[in-house]
Amino acid sequence: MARSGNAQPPNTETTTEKDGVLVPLQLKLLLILIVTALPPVALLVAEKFWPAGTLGVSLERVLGGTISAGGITVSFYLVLVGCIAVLGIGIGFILGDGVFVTPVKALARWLSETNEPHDSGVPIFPKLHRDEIGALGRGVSAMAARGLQVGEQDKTVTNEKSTFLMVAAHQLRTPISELTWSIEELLDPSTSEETKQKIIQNLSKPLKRTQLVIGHILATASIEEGRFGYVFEQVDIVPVIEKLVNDFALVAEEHGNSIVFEHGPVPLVYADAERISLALFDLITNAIDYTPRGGRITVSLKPASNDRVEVIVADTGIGIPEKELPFIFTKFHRGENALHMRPNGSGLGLYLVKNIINGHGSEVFVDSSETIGGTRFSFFLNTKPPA
Amino acid sequence: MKVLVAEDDSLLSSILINRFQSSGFDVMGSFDGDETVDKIKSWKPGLILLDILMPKKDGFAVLEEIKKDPACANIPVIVLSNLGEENDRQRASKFGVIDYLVKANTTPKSIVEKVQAMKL
Repeated sequence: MARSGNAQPPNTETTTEKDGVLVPLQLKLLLILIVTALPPVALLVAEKFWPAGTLGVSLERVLGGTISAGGITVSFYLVLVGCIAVLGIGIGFILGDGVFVTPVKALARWLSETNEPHDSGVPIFPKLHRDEIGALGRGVSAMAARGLQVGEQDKTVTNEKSTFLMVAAHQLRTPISELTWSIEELLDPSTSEETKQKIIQNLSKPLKRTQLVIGHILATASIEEGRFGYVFEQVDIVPVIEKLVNDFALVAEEHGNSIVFEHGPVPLVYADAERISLALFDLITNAIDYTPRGGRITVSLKPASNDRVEVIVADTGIGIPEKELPFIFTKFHRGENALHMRPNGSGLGLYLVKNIINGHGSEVFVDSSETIGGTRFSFFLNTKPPA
Repeated sequence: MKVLVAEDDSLLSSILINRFQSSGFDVMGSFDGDETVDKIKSWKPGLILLDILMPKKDGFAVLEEIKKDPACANIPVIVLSNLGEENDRQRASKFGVIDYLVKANTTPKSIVEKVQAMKL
């Protein structure tokens, strides 16, 4: 049986384009019986009612006489009836095979091949008549297609879960290494006091990293399961962002960059301050990580039209290639430039940002130029609850 | 013996460098793939401890480059990475690395002991 050459659900084109029964099997069976029985019946009728002398031929003369063979004498008429009956049965058999047996065999063969692994392609559904057998076959094909689609969806979900677990495990290994190695050195009497002090001063780094990774993983899992809730209230977002920018000042300095917060008077916003803080945390972390030394990160807040406030995080960093812009909010996506500068990222930060901002009824807008450099992320927050 | 510690994590790098120095080795650190290749070619260490996920050029790209250079191709390399999947190990072994250690499953002290036992 021909194969489609691609691993995909069975070709159901023929099962959907012609639905319903055109010629029922009962009618086909009747026609076959008529074709089978007609010749000898017609001969019998003709023998009985053929007027003598019609067409100058007497049927008695045509059908009369005998045939002898091996000491057996049989009337020619009977022999003729017998031959025509056998011919009729033969024709009936061929027709019956084509109407009943061949389609059932083809369907059985297709089912058998569909149950085999599909690496070499899925078998093409056989062409069936528009009768009950065809309807049965099309129904089975549709069921098989639905079953395969569910199987593919399950495989996709399983693959995603595997990727998620691998990324999570790898992300946690680095801070675990940092803590394990730090503890071993602190406990070793041969480690110098100077080294011990340096290690102690840096111990908060793996702990913060672990917190961040676990936070990302739990948040992503909550989003996937529809449990990532929001608590909306009227809030002054200025001190929220101010604190965040102050917390990042030292980190930016260690990267050789500066970070500033620019704002004028803005109204209160209707938002979940904690979730917005998480989104901004990720945007600012990215901005610092992907901005080479001597760069600048600017977080801005300004009133916007339609009772909204605009929040902007802009950097003078490496930029995002244009071809990657459609994918940056996809879970686990790491851009080329991102991998180049910070190969250890999880690919979950912007996915979380998008979900949080969508949860506030807004979109995240991004403007980036790899050639000039710099990236600008922005979103809007409503100042009032939705009507 | 001269040991190059190619590790972009500053905390892990400083701990490893200190441990090897206090064990009597002559140690230098590098923090990205490009710097690693430069230091291998100019400093010619007797052993390379190589992280895989590094900025600018990953560990596999570093291996590919140094293996093409007859002057550095035979320098023994121990991969020190938190990528521990079988395909990563197999990929590294094709470059003839002498060992593959997962950082989260080992400690600086045991790495030094392993190197000392190798008598390179």
